[in-house]
Amino acid sequence: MLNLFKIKPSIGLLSLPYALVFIFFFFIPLILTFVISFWDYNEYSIIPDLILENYRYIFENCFSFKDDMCVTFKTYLSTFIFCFITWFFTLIIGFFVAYFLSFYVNSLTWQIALFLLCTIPFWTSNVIRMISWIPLLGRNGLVNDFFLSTGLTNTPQEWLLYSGFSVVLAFVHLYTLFMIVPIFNSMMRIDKSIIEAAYDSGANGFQILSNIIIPLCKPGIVIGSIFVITVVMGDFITIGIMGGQQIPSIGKIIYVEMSYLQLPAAAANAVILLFLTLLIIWIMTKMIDIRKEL
Amino acid sequence: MFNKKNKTYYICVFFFSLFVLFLYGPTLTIVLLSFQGPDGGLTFPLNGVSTFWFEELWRGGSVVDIGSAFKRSIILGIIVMILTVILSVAAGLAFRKKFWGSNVLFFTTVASLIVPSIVLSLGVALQFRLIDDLIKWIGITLDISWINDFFQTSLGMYSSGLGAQLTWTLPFGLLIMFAVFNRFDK
Repeated sequence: MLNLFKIKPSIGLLSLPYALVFIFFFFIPLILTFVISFWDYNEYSIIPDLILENYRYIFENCFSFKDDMCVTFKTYLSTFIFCFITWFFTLIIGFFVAYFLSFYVNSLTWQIALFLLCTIPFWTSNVIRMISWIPLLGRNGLVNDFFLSTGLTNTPQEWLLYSGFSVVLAFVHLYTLFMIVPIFNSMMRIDKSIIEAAYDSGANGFQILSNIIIPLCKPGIVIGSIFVITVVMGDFITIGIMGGQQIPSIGKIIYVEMSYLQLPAAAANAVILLFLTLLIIWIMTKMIDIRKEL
Repeated sequence: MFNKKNKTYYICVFFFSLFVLFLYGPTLTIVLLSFQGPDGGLTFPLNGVSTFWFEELWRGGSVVDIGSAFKRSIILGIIVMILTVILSVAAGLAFRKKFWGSNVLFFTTVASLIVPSIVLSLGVALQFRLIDDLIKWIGITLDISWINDFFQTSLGMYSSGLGAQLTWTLPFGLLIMFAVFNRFDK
């Protein structure tokens, strides 16, 4: 006879509440987004259907190549450029901060202290950290005061704020930590004796960096890059605030469509955004075999 | 190699200091400017030092009701914190052994960090809109008066808002628990 009391509840059941949150707030929403992107809508409601109109509308005039680039391509191009520049600067800065922390700071206490120093600003919301640039960069801001008083320029510089420059500055300011943490993690795993062996065999600092440290940090670099790129791809708050609501972004388009209740249109945009983001990540993971490196 | 008298060491220290200045500088200027005198704005030099703006905030003179905003944030924050700790400690314990679906759950955790937040927010909004429609439909077909009279939306801070927050905090909670449990003896 089957004794029900003999069936031990698996310890895996402990993950059930965690899994339920993801089913309800991750899987179902994503599936719904995909499904609703094929629905129809009017001013009041969304109508179940199976149409490609939402997608067609996004790419309207995109493939005629007669006049200017269409809005969608322009927006994606500008987002990709932001992605690339932000990725480049966060990578360089993040790499050297991690490099300093893991190789030049010897005591664990100092390592933790300096690491915390980099982390503490992330305890506040990113909007607050963004807004704090405004008094620095504005027309009467500190930077312009400095420029004018030292005679570097005669007129206040307008490009400092509400421009592509301020957007990138804010992104780098906000998200360099996303690079530091995984790269630092990879660097801490590097066996110091490998570096010593290379040094004893006559390798110079640059050779050690390019032949040992960078290859061994690849997983950290890729993970950090994935974080930075996905955050920039889906952003609309930073580009909105620091771009003075003048620079287009996909996130902003989705947000505006949501607020006008054009939900299927927003869903179609979201599907394309998600697809492109995953495509970029897929290409990046192809560059290294993550499973082999872990 | 990583000699402290090395030139590279000083370059690195200099670079790191610059980075820290870059991180904290803007926030510090905001802190300084908050002690601006009554006539000043968000610009230097300070028009006198005062706590005028804090008093103004305390009296509730600003456009936004800052008191209730703070209260809302703190309550939501505490709820999210408690749920994150409980759920991710439990899930972390479960992950110490392989279980049915553990791989899927792990990749879901990683995926939720990768999906752009606006996409997920839209998804959650869509979901709750459909739930609203469903509830209204039930209210009409079964003629439940309180639904027909009072129900407006299921979207809210403690339903969709809380859930959307959790999909962002839980992965971090779980990954931290992985790091913690890895140090335990098996």
